[in-house]
Amino acid sequence: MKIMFRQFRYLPFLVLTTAILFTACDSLEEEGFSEIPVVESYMIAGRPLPFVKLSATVPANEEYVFEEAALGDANVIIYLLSESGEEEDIFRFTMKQKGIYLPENRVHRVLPGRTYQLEVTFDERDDQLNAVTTIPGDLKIINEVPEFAIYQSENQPELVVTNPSTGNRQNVFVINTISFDPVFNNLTPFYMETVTEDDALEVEDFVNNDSPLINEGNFEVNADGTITIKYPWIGVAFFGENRVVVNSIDSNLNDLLRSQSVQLGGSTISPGEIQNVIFHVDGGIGIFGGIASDSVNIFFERPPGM
Amino acid sequence: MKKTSKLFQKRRRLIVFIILMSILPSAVAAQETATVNGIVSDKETGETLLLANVSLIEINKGTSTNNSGFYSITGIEPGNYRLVASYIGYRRFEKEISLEAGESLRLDIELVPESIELEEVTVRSEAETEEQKNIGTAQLTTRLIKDLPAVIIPDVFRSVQLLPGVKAASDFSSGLYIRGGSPDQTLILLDETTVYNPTHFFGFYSTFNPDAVKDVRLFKGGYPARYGGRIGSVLTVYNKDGNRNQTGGAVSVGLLASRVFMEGPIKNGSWMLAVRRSTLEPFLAIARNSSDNIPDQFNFIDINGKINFDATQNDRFSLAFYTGNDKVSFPFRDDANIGLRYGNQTVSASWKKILSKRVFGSLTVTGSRYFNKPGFEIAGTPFERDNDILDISVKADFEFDLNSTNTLSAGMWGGNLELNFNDSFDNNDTFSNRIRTNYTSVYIQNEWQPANKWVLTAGIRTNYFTEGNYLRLSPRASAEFRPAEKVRIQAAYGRYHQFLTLVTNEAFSGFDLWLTTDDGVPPSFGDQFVLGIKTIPLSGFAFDAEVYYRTMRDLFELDPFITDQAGLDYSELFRFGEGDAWGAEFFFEKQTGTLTGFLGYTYGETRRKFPGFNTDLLNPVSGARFFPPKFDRRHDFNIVTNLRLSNRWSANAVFNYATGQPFTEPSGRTSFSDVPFGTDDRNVFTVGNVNASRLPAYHRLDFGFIRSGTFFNMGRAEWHFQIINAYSRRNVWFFQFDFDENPVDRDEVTLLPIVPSVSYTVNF
Repeated sequence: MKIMFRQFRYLPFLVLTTAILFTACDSLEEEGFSEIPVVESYMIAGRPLPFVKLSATVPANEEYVFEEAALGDANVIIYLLSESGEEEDIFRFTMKQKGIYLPENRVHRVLPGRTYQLEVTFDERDDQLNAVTTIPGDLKIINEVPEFAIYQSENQPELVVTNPSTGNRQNVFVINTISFDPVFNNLTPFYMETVTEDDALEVEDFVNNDSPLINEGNFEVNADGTITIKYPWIGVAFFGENRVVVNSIDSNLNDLLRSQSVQLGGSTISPGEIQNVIFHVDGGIGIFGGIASDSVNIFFERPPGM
Repeated sequence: MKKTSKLFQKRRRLIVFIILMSILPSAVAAQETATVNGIVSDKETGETLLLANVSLIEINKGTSTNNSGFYSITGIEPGNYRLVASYIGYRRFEKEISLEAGESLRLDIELVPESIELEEVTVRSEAETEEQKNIGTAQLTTRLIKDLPAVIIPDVFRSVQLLPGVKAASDFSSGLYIRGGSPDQTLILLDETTVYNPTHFFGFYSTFNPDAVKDVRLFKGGYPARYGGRIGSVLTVYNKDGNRNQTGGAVSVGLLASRVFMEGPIKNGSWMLAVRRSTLEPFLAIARNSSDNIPDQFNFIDINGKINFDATQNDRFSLAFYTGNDKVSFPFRDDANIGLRYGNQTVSASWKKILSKRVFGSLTVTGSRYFNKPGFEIAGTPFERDNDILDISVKADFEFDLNSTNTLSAGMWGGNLELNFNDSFDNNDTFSNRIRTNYTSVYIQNEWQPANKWVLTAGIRTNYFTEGNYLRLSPRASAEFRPAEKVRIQAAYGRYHQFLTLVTNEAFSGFDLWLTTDDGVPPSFGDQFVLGIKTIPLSGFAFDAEVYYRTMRDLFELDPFITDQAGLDYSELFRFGEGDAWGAEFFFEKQTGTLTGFLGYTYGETRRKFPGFNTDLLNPVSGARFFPPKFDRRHDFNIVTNLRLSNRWSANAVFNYATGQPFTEPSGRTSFSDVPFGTDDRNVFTVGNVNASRLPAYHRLDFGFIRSGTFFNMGRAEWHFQIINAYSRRNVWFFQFDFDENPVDRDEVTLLPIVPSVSYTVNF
């Protein structure tokens, strides 16, 4: 026993070192809920000014209903900025119903390649929201796209689009397909089986079927600067007449969608770790995004035997 | 002036005299001292024994065998001595030797396996009784690995996870999280060859077959200059050489995997072959009758082999290889299929030579390939990935016994590393990256014993990576002081660099891929400080304690928010950050008697910070904040016991208790319902501090029984009966949120329930 005690006389030194190391370190604390203002608005090139939705976050374990979270008595303005960042035009909004604000100017068309700034203040809150978006440049489908295509045949539809890039970032596309006849029997095999086997999914969930974010790097850039987009068969949820829409999105929307899609998993983030989504709104959270788009109608025919 | 000049000359003569007097005794001693060296091996099988103790009782001078089983004791005064050799699980070896001035005695030692642990030992020298445990090092025996209760099959990594300082992310992962580091911060070597994805079954098991393994050693931190390339730890695994005396083997049949092992002698050498394969097919076939969602194909196989040849008494050659892969094919819809094939192949050829009585050298050529080929086809649209690494290298290591107080190690490791990473979408290449880089490391290290109670080690390792033109220096130092018999106080410092990063998901390692440094992507680096005490409080017991602190800088990881790599510059794929880790480990072991085992306790903290992540939502300019990663378990406690009930029966048990892993409790939520494409609302959580909450504590009891017998008198046989998670504790892995419900539904995803297991092994 004496031998043991002699040996362990060095142990207090180690324990003291341990205690110093640990007590010097702060531990992380949970933060409780605090309400944050939320803005949602999408500027689409060539279309009228959009509505602006304002709401507030609710506690994570409570039911979310927009109407109950909506914020009223807000002063909403969108500025068209010049290249030097000065206000070139001003568009005011009025509240149609709590949380939804419509532009007074119904004539202005969102200009591709231009920068807009959103500013929100409140009569009875101290919050002030600011956000800026640069609309992607003009996007047009310029080739003759066949009106008919046999599903999963060798003749995969190709769309040649003008390059809407406005800066030194590559374009990010979303291709969505809107069915004109979205009934169960028109579903393509993969989607039919998906709807059949998953009780949580319904036919209506695929009426407007959107792709994930697709970088320009996936497609061929032609010598004249146009981009050839091969339309993937996985985008076809319904046989029959469909509108195929090619969208180029700005960096605000790209950041929101790519971070939101993996917030709860599916990436390298460990299970249980949740990071905040990327927002570009000062004073709050939300999206003030810009989109340029064009569309074409294609009739997807059912191949023989399917 | 004259007085000053005379004084200076006197002082100079005095200095020269002192220098001469310090050199002269050494020079005289060098002429008169003797050396004894040789190879220590298992008498029955001929396997070399690594880290076996060899010492001279009378002068309390000893050493341990190196990775080739070679030992050398130098600077011995002429005389008669009793040489003893020992190794856990073997009978003590003793021999009287007589050494003359200048003699170099070659003495190869064969140790006899001890079937019963000794209760008592007689005279032992200090050098002999202490296990030669360097700071931050732990060793596992293959017997322990095979006997411990295991989830279906014994596994090397799951056994390593029981050691202090080593944590598991979940029951489904064999990944090693060591002292706050992620699995890619541990260099894993099989017979000197790097293994890039040492897992089967999506991370459930490691690729190391316990039948084939001879030695498993973990350098948890502060590892020596001989190793490099990772900022955390090193795990070295050496496969068996094969039985040099007789042909034999073992067959083991289990519920979900089976193994065959064979070994035998060749002229002046030996061979070994071990095959392991999953045997899930019958279960899958039965399950397919009642459910559609069953894979068409789901199996793994691995093969280890080695051949050894002694060209001369001083020259040993060996050729070792490993090949293994996993295959999954899973049609999950009529028009959708997922397939995955991944695996590793390694080969190493080595030449070990006793160059002289003081010099040992080894030359090894290695090749390592890791490939990973996942693919999906959904509704006629294929997505494919092709990732592979090819690493060809040459390494040379030398050990010089300069004199009785200095042992010099030096070596180099150079090679060519090629990484290919290709993604294709709809039959078009969308991302293609090929990196070919040369790497070179050179190290030198000296171990100096200025006095009986002190061992000082200093070294430096230089690393050069051509991709990015990165040259890095890594100094290492350690000190050991023995203030009393059976007490060792150790300290170590090291700077470490890492040129690779692993892209992985903790839940699923089947899609792992490695990325490397490049222009704009500098290597990560870190410093480690370790302080420890090793004691033998009583004969047959050991008690170790260590504290550590480590930094991690310039960490580079794939940005988790990048969902499509196409069109991006290589450096844009990454996020760059930093981290720290600190902790204390306590280890108490009982090595002898009918009851053996160990208790291990770890207190550990680790944290990470990446710009743009874990920022204040309303004040992002204030910058990123540190957060704990999921594997930050503060308290981790393990008890491992083995009880010999009789000659035929033994029982073992493992109990693990760990405080909860961090997770993020979301604070708020909102929804974006007007995105112009798609029909789904984009539901979003807002969070405060990431991973600021803790899951419930984790605890689990596994136990098993082993019954030994014979198989129709043809060989030894063992039944293994095991229960994993004996009281079916439903430990929480993470919380899953379902936005289809409003309010959001939160479900627990739990880990393993109670799992019984039976296997039968025959040794012939």
